Amino acid sequence: MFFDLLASGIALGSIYGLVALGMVVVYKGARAVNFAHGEVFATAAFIGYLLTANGLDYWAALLLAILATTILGILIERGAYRPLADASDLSLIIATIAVSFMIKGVVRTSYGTRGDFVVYPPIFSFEPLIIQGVFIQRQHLVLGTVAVVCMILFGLFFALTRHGKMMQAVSEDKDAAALVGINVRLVFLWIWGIGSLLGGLAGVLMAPITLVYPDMGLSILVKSFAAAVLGGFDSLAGAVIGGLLMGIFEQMLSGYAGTMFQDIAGFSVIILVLLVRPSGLFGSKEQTRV
Amino acid sequence: MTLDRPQRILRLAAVAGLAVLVVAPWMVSLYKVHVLNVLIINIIMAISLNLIMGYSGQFAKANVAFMGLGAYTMGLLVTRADWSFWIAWPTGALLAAAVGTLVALPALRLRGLYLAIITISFVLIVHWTFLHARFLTGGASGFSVPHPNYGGLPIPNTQATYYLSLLTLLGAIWMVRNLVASGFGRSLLCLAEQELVAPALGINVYATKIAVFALSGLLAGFAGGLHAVTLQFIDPQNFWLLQLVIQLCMVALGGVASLLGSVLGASIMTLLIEVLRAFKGLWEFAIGAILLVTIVFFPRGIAGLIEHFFPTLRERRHRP
Amino acid sequence: MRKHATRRTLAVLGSALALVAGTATAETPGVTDDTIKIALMVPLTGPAGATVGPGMSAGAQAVWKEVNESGGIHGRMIEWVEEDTGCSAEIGIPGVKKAIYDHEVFMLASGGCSNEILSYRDIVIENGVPFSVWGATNDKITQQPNCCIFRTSLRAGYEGVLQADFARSIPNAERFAIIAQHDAWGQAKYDGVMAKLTEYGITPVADEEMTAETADATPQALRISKANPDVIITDLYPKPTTVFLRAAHQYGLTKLPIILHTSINDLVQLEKDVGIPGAVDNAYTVTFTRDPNAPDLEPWKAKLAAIASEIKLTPYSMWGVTGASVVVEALNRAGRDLTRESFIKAMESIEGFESEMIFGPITYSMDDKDGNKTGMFQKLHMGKQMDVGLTFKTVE
Repeated sequence: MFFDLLASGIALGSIYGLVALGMVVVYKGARAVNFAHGEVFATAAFIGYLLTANGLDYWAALLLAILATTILGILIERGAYRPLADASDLSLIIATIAVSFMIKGVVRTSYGTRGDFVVYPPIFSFEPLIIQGVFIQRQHLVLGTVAVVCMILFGLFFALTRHGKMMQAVSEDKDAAALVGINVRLVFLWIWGIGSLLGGLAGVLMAPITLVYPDMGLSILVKSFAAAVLGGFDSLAGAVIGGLLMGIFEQMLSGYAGTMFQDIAGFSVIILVLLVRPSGLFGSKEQTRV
Repeated sequence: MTLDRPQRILRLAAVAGLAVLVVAPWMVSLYKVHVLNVLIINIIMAISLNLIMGYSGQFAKANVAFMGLGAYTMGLLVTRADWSFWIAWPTGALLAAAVGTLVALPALRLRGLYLAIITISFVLIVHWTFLHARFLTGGASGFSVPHPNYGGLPIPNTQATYYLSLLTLLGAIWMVRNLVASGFGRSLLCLAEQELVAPALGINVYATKIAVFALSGLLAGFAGGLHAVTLQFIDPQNFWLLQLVIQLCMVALGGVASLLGSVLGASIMTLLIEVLRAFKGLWEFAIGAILLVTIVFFPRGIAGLIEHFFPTLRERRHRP
Repeated sequence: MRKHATRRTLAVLGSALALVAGTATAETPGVTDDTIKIALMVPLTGPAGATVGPGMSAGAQAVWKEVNESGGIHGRMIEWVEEDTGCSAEIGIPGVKKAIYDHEVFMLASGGCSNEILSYRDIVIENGVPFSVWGATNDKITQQPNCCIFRTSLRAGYEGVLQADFARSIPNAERFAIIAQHDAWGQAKYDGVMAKLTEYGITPVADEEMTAETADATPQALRISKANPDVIITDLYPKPTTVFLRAAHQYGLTKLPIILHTSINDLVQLEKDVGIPGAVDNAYTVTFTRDPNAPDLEPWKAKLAAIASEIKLTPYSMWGVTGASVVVEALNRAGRDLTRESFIKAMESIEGFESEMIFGPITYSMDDKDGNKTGMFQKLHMGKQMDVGLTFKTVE
């Protein structure tokens, strides 16, 4: 039972981690908490579903859905972030909440009366792999791998590449960055695009497991946001590790203590962790904005 | 005290608004009385949240849980222990204030997003408890709450509850107005703008934070009790993330750190949700769009816009 | 002196209001010479907004449109307004007040979730408004004293009896597991089945909880598997049912009989959604609506599509068709002199009313406003849905 719970916890945690990663990238690059991120991945899942259901090739649909959400991210930057770049953090947060309401309204309206939910086909079949007597879903394996690969890729990107360093510089001091000739606006556009791309990726990969429904954004976003905060919110590794910890706590506690605790297991742990470490597990100390 | 023209207009508008609210229950249908009653309670909630988020700049979001605690305490004492509403209601509010004090303790150390997530976690755990403490709360099905006993008051219960809400709102406005203009208001402002240097200015950060959480909890607790007798029903669904987000939107739309903002934001949001109820999923889009336009063009909300044109309407506060 | 004056003014105002209210009831609200106005109380937002509400509403509209096209009822056309109930007290209560006080409808129909109806039940009864409930199952909705709330769906308590009895009829079944949502919907069903099991002296070997949003049911499946049950009773929405069956299949639980409930009546669709061959083979669902894939129901698919293109024959649209037909029957019986009282009398006189959507007849009386007492267990066999009856048997 232990290893089964661990495996399913890691699987669930990869979803939270991948979603959290998208939020953290935007936060690192643009110092904004994107509460519309839940709607971003829900949109990806819904568009992917629409395209596959209308007979488009699986991978083409997947790529198009991710592309669409990347564009959505750029639109959010133009419509909600850029006009507020100098406003208070609270205004920025409210703006992303406003955007999330708008996207959800559009998704719900176009979703129409399709039913409680729609199913999204998995990349491989639902027959699990059995490793040492532990069942592992192939889709979970894909999710976990993608989360870790994205974390490493973006970590390297921020640390090593010129563009990555540019983004860091912009997020730390926008005006100074502009002075040394960095096109700040373009950098922000990139950051929001990439953050949403990650959200889109998470959306189409989790959709076969979580199923697709208009309100799928909220509950997963809250847990992923919590995971990101647990990890420290400005740490890429923290986001993924925070996500994994959330997933594992959730499954372990509900497996051993009772399934009634599944929904609040992660949040109880967060309260305990933050009381001991007020900046999360891997967060930098100076990071006290909002 | 002399008032200039905008101030006189605002005062006139406030008196006219109040007059409308006083006569409304006899002019409109019972449905509209209900909507207005909920609107009044939402204003109290917006003021309560604004006290923490706007005036003292703490990114805490536990108010919807305080509201729930006020509602459940009142409802359970009335239905299970046969207490009079008039004792049960303040008891619920006091309990909410006490829990507010407890929530203030981690807020002494945590800030920003960390404070946000720990208070959201608190809301979810309180909601979960309402849902699972079935022997006490009846779980998800909720329970009915009777009208308060208004004794010999010669008006129907629905209208009486409406006036009780209105009186509570006036009390809340009076309290917050005086508070903000006092020395305590100066401490709050300091907390909001320069928390790190506040101690150097001789402000007891701990005491100020605890006091503001307790007050905010008290208001939310009173609002919770009123909400329960207005709906005559309590269930856990009313005290969840969605209400939290909507209350946050009320404050942001109206304007942070502003009573006028709380009143306008809560009124507009409540009416908007009610008017657009016929338009199914579209209300989400409309609310999002209105909120976004407001925030982008008037970052300090509608009250900020009004104060921009009429600076004398800005609330009087002690400046440090 | 001044105080007295205020008091007197208030008293006068109060009695004036009472007078206005008094005159309003003198003639029947919502009924004119050529129309009858009905409010469809349906969740269009909230947890059940995407399916339950639009489905029930479309079902009703399909029936009433047909009635209107053939000349209406005793010279009156049925008019309807949709009010969102959001599946919550917060949205449902103003919705019902708007219907009663602003739209001044003749009656209410449909209703969404149990908790929402419980929250405005007192308002309905105080005003004596007839209310035909089509989907919500909580026992307390129709509990006496009850002037005017009728139901066409199975009462949760009774559905629980059917589930418990069916589970007990499985040969050698001694260990019972249950998994349920503990929201208002699931709680009503869970209480129903637990009450019956307790009566039989049975304590479930596993009693698990899952929410409508749970993304992974491994802990639930593992705990149930560890308890080694002979049968599993589920009270979960279709979505969590799908998530649960996928996890349950991994641990071999789908080899056991799994008992579903009235919100799932299309096992072919369920098997498609779960996406694993064999995972639904031993699922037995109790339903009062017939197999939506039955050939004689085919014409309804076009009728529903004419209302809204994506509406299919789901339990929800079938509940709408059933309930709306019962309302039409009672309006017919009440005759041209339609009042709320005559309508309620007409409803109470309905006996053995049959609809092609449901298994059994609907019969009301003065003391019993739960008209539907016929459930049927069904299971998949060779890709088709088959009737099993009310006790367990293997279909060959």
